[in-house]
Amino acid sequence: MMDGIPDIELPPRDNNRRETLKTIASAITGSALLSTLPWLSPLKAAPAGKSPSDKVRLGLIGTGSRGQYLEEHLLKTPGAEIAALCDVYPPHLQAAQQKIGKPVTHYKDYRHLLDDKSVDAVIIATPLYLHAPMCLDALAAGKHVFCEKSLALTIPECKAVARTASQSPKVFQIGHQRLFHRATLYALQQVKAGDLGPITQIRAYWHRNVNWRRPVPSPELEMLLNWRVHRKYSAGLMTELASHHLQVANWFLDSPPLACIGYGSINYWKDGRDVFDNVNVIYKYPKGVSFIYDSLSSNRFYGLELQIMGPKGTLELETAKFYAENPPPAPGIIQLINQIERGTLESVALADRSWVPDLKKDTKGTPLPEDPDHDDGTGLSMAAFVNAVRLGEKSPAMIEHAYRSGVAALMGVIAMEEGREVAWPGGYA
Amino acid sequence: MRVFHRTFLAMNTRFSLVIPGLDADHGESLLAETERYVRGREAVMSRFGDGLVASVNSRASEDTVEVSEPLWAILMLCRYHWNNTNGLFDIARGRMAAVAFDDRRQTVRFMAPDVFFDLGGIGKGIALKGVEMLLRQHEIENAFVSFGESSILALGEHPEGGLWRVGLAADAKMDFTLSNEALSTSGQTPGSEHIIDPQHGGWASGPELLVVASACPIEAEVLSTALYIAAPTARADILSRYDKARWRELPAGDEPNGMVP
Repeated sequence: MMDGIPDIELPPRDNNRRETLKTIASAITGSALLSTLPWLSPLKAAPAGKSPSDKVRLGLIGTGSRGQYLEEHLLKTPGAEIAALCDVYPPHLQAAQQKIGKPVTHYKDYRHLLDDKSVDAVIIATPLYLHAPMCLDALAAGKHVFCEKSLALTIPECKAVARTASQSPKVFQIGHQRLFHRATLYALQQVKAGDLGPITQIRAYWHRNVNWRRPVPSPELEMLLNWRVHRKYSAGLMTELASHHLQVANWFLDSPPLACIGYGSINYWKDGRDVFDNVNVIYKYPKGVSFIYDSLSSNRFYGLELQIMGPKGTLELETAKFYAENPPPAPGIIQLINQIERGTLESVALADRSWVPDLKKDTKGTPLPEDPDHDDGTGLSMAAFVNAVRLGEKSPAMIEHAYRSGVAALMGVIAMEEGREVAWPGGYA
Repeated sequence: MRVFHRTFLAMNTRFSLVIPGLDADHGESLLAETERYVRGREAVMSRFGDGLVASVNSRASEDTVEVSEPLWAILMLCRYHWNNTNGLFDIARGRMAAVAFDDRRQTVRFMAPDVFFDLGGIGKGIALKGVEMLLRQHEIENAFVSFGESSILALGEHPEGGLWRVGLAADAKMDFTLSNEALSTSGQTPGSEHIIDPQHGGWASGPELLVVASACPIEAEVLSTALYIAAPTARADILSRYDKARWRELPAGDEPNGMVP
């Protein structure tokens, strides 16, 4: 346990999600962490029972790869019932239907799903350009909303959605699963406990060697299936990937960025796309701290990582490790300290050839605690959303996270496209 | 009993300070002063980066180099121990005879190619000697300092009374009892050898580990290297010039020898 924050001892992975949620509920009830991590608050409620009144009836809008991933988590989430599906592409809709294992109502037009009074809440996992209109329509229809990141395609849309969500009595949550990721939560407490000293830089990268395209059965489906590489529908790597890391940077630095500059280009996948295949952006934060981000589509050697650095240590959140700047004492020194504290005197096993520090490439670091089911936070974020709907518990912090990360990603896009420094555009109120 | 302890990186290894009974405020202040002192010594003795030794090494093959006072004092100390160990303790990696010292002008000149100074065999001992003085100035009577586990300083007594007991990491039963003494070890790690035998210029082959205890951290450091290199029959002659030292060796692949003398 760290400084007032429980490091939740989760049951081993052969237990079911209900048991895990029960453990979490009992660990965080009354805990100080709810004041700093209010979006976890819905998890303090015991998992829903099996009675119909405990169920939250969900409509899943967008049944592509991400939508089906969320669906798999929802099927394991106590209290969640997938009551309706919606997609304009029949193969995806059929695949989502098969996962449920029983027939559910399905729609081609999301507005018809919103008219369905039996649906309490919607899960939106559609292309970016649809996020704003769908979120606004869903809130207007009185539905609780979980929308995949990033918030919206433009900054004015981000403002409109955040403003509407903040004024609505309904729950609004964006798919930033790192807010629920056990290792990331632990890392935040390490930062608050001063294990790094003040954060002096955050650096993140997301490198892949893929063209980001999906096979298209017929040409008219190009925009529908490959929306990510077309600027009219997508803001590319910044909204699809960087927004995750930007959300963590905003969170750990407790501020949105003040400004950013950047360069991007299409230097490899010259296949008709009009979103950058490589992006390189530097964000300026208060206290002289920078967040340096780059993403490639033409090399995967370094993979992805988010590094939070201070004078006393480095956190690497994607691999869930902490590296202290100062080395740990030798085992013999720890033995000696324990002896003195216990009041005993024995020979300590210490003298040896001179110790040499590991280089970064071969040092092991200290692992951060991970979820036994290797949940990247998505499972818990689904459970929190379902519980929040059941309890009618809104979290303004979720809207703020969604707004800050969504806007920060778009600032980077504008900086690269227009070749200028882009300042934070202010809040959404 | 509470115990103040901190570990930091210096001289490419870890420095651990353990002081029983000291409160955190005093401990942090003393640690900061200790760290400043050790880093200052490192700046003088390092053969990398901006170290004074690095500066001398880069120029003394081409020119006569004036040496500043702090480094000159260390070089003279090393020359003294080079003589005392029959040339086995050699900061010029076996080429000390090819270094021209001008005592009056305090200059050095390397008289052969590929000569350079490396204080790795004595640097931690020099730093520990200074740390010992620093701790005494602050009226710390009982303390334990480990510099990379190969150089250890034990001041005063263990809080449970009596001497500090330090064993080998590989065999805690082979231990030394220390009070106001330093311990130094020498040994080669296969693949990362660093001790050169000045008698032939190649890697020295000695026991698995050789350990020296002495009231002087610098002498402990010098002797652990020299005795590691020396043939068994040559050790007594070297030790005759050092009256404060005890030593032991862990023979390669064998049981520890008894304490000598």
